[in-house]
Amino acid sequence: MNTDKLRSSWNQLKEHHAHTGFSDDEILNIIEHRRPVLLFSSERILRNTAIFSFIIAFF
Amino acid sequence: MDSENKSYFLQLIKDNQGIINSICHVYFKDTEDLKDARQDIILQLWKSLPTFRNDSKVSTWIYKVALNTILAKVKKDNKNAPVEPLSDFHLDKGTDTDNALHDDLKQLLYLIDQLEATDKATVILHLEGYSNKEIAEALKLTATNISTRMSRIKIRLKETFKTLYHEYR
Repeated sequence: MNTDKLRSSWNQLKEHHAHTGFSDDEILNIIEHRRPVLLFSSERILRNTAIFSFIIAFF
Repeated sequence: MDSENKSYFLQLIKDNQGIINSICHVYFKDTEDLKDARQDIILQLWKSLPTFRNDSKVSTWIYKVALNTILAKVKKDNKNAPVEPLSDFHLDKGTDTDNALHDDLKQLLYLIDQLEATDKATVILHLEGYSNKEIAEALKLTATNISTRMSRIKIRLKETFKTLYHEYR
């Protein structure tokens, strides 16, 4: 099957969607709003590492 | 530094939102699912930004992250929309965005919609001009697997196209 026509349609689809969505606020909200969860995970990992290091060192 | 990164990232997303929106549109019909997917992709792009090296094109990196994010989401949610029977297809059917699209685009979306999630990703990358080897690297599959998939996909698309054309005659 010749996909050239589909390729052209795909490019049209990208062009169609190139000017919609994504305000700066929306993007910032996404990357900043979820960050506390990531920090929490990092903090949890650090805390667990410290606890296990303590246990290994003293027992 | 963080502020610089954010400015760069905002511009990067704006420059490539056509890719991100189009990929989401291919996979999700429901507006909320589509928004969720878009958010997931943006977050993944932001998280992987530090590892992005300029030895590949920005668009290649975006395709890779976006498609793998969507494939993981589809697998996790198991929400891959069921394929509509061919007889249900009408040109005036679809979402608001679909309705604004040209017939060729509707046809493209319909043809791709008949494929399963990984095959959709394969077709998208193929239409973007990537080789089987590059597609395999992006989707973490082997080149042989992609080659086999492409042969199968082309047969499937050809059959669907024939049936579609037959219905409209």
